[in-house]
Amino acid sequence: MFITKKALSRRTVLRGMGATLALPVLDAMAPAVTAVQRSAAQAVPRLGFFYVPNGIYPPAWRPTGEGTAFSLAPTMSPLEPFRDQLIPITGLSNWEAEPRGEGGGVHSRVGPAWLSGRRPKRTEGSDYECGITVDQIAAKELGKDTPLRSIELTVDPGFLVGNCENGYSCVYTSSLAWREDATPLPMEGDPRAVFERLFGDADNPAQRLVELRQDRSVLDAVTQDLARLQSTLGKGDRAAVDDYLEAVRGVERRINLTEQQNRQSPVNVAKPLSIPDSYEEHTRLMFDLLVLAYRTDVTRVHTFQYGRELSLRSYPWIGVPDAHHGVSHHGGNPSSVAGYTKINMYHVALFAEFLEKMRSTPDGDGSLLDHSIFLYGAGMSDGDLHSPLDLPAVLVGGGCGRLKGGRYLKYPLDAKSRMSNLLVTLLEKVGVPEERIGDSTGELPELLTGV
Amino acid sequence: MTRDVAILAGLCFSLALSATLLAQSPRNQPADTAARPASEHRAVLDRYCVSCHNQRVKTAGLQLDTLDLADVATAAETWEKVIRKLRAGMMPPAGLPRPDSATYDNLTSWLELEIDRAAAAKPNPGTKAQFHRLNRAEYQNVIRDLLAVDVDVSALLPPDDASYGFDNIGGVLKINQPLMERYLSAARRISRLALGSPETPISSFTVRLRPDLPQYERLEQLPFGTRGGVVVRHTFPLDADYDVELQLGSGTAAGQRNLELNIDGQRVKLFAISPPVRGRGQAPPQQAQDPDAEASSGSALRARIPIQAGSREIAVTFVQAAGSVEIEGSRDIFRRPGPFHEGNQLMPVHEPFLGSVTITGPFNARGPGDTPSRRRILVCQPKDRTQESACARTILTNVARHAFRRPVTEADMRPLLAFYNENRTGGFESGIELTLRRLLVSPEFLFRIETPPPDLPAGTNHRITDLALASRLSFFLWSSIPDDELIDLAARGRLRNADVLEQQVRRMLADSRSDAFVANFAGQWLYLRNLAALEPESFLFPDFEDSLRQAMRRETELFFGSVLRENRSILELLTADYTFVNERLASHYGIPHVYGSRFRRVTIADENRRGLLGQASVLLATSRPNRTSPVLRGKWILQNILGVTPPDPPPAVPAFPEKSNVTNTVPSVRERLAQHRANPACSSCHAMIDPPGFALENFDAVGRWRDVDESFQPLDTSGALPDGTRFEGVVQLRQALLNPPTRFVTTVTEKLFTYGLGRGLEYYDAPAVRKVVHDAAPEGYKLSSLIVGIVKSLPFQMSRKTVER
Repeated sequence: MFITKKALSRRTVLRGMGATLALPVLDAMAPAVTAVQRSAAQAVPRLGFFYVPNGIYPPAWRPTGEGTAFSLAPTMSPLEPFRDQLIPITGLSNWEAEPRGEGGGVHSRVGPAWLSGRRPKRTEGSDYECGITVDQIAAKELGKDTPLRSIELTVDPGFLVGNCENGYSCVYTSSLAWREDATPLPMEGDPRAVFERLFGDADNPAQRLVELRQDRSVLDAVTQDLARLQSTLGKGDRAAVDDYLEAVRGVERRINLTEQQNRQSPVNVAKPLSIPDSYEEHTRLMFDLLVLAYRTDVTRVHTFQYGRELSLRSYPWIGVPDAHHGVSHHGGNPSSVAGYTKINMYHVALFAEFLEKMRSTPDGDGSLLDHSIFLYGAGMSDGDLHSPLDLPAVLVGGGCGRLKGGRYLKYPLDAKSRMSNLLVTLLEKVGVPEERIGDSTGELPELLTGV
Repeated sequence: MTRDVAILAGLCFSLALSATLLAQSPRNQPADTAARPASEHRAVLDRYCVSCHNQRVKTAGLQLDTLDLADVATAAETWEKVIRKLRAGMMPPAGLPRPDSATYDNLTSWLELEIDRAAAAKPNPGTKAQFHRLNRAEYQNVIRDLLAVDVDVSALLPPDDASYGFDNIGGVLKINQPLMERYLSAARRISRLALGSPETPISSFTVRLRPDLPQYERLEQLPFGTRGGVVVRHTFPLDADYDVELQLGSGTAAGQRNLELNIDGQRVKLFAISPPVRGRGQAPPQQAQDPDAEASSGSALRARIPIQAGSREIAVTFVQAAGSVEIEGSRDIFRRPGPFHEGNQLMPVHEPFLGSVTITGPFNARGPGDTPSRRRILVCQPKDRTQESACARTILTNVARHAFRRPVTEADMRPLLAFYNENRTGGFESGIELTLRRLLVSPEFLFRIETPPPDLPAGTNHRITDLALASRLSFFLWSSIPDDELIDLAARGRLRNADVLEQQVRRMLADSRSDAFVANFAGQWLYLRNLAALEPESFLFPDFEDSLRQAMRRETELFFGSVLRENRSILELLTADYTFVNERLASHYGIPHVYGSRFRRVTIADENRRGLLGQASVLLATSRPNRTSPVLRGKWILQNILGVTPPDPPPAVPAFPEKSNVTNTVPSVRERLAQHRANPACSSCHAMIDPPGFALENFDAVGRWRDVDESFQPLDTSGALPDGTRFEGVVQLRQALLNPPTRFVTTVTEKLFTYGLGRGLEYYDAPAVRKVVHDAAPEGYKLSSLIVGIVKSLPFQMSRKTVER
């Protein structure tokens, strides 16, 4: 929760961190936040991904009808208010996440495969590998001028011991965003840390500049350390040093861009203090930070994880006392199906709240939502089948006028209907054309047209 | 009495076992095994194994008919898999003919022997990740030991990924930009805090009390006559004023309540709280009556307090009215509503409770004060500018030696001093602080780097340096840096001496820093770390709250710690007739006459409760929020006690058939699992996984004893281990698990190796594991002996230089 210090006293802010959080945040904050100046013609696209673990129960998710004449099923119904910017898509599959004789480990495969169209290598060792994910491909281009290329957020409390699959490192369920084949990015769950990544932890802009300069001189020195170290190492041992160097350069780049844009940073916003007790507050707070990040143009790309695969979180406050992963293995049991569906719908409802905030935030000649494309979905369909085929997916947003909503795209369940083809199409939509992602064979023509 | 029997039995096992194990040593080959030529073992294989595992059928990808028994070692990777199945008694599968047990054991021992003999001639110590990043738990301890600063690193760094069940696996701990940003920011805060920088910005720190933390009883650290609240350690950067703000949850009881704020045991503030006006719905917030307390709206109380720099214990607690007594059974009156009962009136709260404490500051700073960290770092003080450079060198040499975990050279110091000189414009201490910051993000600090000798050809083995050994030791047993004694011994080349090494291990285990070993090793092996995240359904388990959760974890940590430090056998982890409880946990177990929140050792009369399998921590960690899970418990036992990894599910597990007729009766867990196992695709694994879990069905999802299940049906706690041993109930399960004890000992040894080396075990490590187990047998498998064995082992002392790619 963050509110302008000008508008509200610090104490109010601290108190606001308590049990109930009403969040009229964006309005209260408005005077202190200045988005990067952009004229209407320069509207920049944002691209974001929302991932739910353990699949989505298809009968309650799949819209009925087709084309523009469709109606939403219960799970997706909270998105009705966004119908004209909504594109539910069914029938796409992630064939790379199929078991192919590797049996167990479906949860470990579906997450990293979701945005990469690649098959994660089965290993618990340092040789873990999947593939660059679509958000990171987009970030290379969309993030050129923003301090952060992308942000990766989660509301998962962190892995539980013994809850990663045999033969697969926990790395695979931790992250959705892979910067390179062997570089998953950590997903941040602490709102305070997210805030500091976005805006630093200094009291005021002048102090922040001092800190940035100090950071830079520290990083210069570290770069020299690395050079010395490298000279003592054999070729094969340099990978770790290369990772280090890349991390250092990434931070340096961020420092440079932040310095250039520092005047526009909302350092007047008070920081969130810690992770709220309730999942709902936590999720809302993360969504508020996300809106703030987009609004201040600190980044234009994100991934968000509602929970890691295999999540055992129970949702008693919405009437689901059993673990999420447990009810996803519903076995046709009506009470498990009901619980599973409730969790699915609850996540969508929170997503709808985020969309509403994006829609009510002006950006250039429209709203932030007009200039965004968000993909919401899961890495498997029915949790009971644990299958990466016929994935639930829905696109929302105006895509800077390049995405025509209000239609339902239904693909046949066959080897040609690939999730990765959707990803390639999204890249085209945000102006970062890429020939292939993972196992993609081309764009989805239905999505490309109709604008 | 029963205990004696158990120990006797244990001894018998050990004796019998030492005999078998000797057989595994290449040097002590008993005549019996040696006498049998490979052709006899081939005949056994052909008769019992090859009908499934051959070139044509290739069951489980195994083709035993093509392997040459004259050269077992060449196919060691495959044979180790075979040995694992045989030691677990899993093959041939139930229902198929097996050889007599002597033949069975002979074959297994012979295979092990052949491999061990070849390994002794051509040892492979494996290769640990050359760059091994400190994980979050280690970072916290390192900062404590390096700078004498207590920081809550969980607020500064993200959690680490795990592999092989542990989060200290070198190859997985890599670095990337988001993490680098966190390290930079952590380094800034820590170096400011350590020196008490005048640049310290005003910041806030909040402690939230868990919603399910009861506040009805006195906390152990607080005086009699208080109830509830919180005690928290916080490091204050400067001698200054700090705002302490308390967030209260409303109470409805009549009369004034007093809330006390203590710093290091001294009362610094008393808040008087009057009850709110009664009304419908949610009670309005408490009003502060204390004239000193800053007028505050809402439910927060705030005071500005002068506090001296350094680590202080902040306590906030309710003061009981004079003469009041703690009433047994008063628990519910003070119980806070569960986190998910907002707006639900089932659990009315009568007394006000503390929600959170926020500390903001510093204000009106008066200076850095005299803190342990300043004393640790500033080992000299320049009297004037001319002394500054020399003093900076002294200070930084000292810090760098510990930060880099080795004596530093002029080549190390040159860049550090150059950096100091460039950054001293803000003054001497500011220069030191910035250089500290730089040290805390340098690769040699964040990574444990083991460089093989440059002139060594790739693929050859080498003994790691004494200094690398010192770090391996200290990160294994302390999750932190080596101390001066270790560095000195290593620098003098003494640490590799076996006696010195063993003496150091014993010293380190006796040191309180080895608490980190209990927290991190046992915390992950036994899933204790998960407890904090588990929320048993409050409607089903209204009695469950955070003090019970904490007590469960504490019990197992104290218990594991006693086996470690009292030189006990690890078999006692399953059989011990003692444990540690406080009143809360004792009442959970039904143990009488234990009062107060202090933990004490008690003898367990009830045989069912003995050892880890009777401890609520383990039982809760392997349950679902609303019921027991024989699947989770069975899997836990197989993996963590027997060392058996259940096979993968078949390629496509079909969905459960839709139930055609839904009946009103709730099927028992066992019935549901029976359906599960009736499905051939599921049964191959669940027939193995579930039964050990059934034996624990007498313990409910929070570890209480019960005689009927969730549906009030009688329990069936019978089942069999993969080797066919039948049992009924936890006592018999325990006996079955320990017959023979080597399976458990080997499992623990493998876990210890994985954790100690920070890498996953490979087939070529098996001889080293067997040797450690074998060497620990004569003394009855003491935990400390296993640790000493590991530290002296080939993979711990040596490394193979990797082939350059």
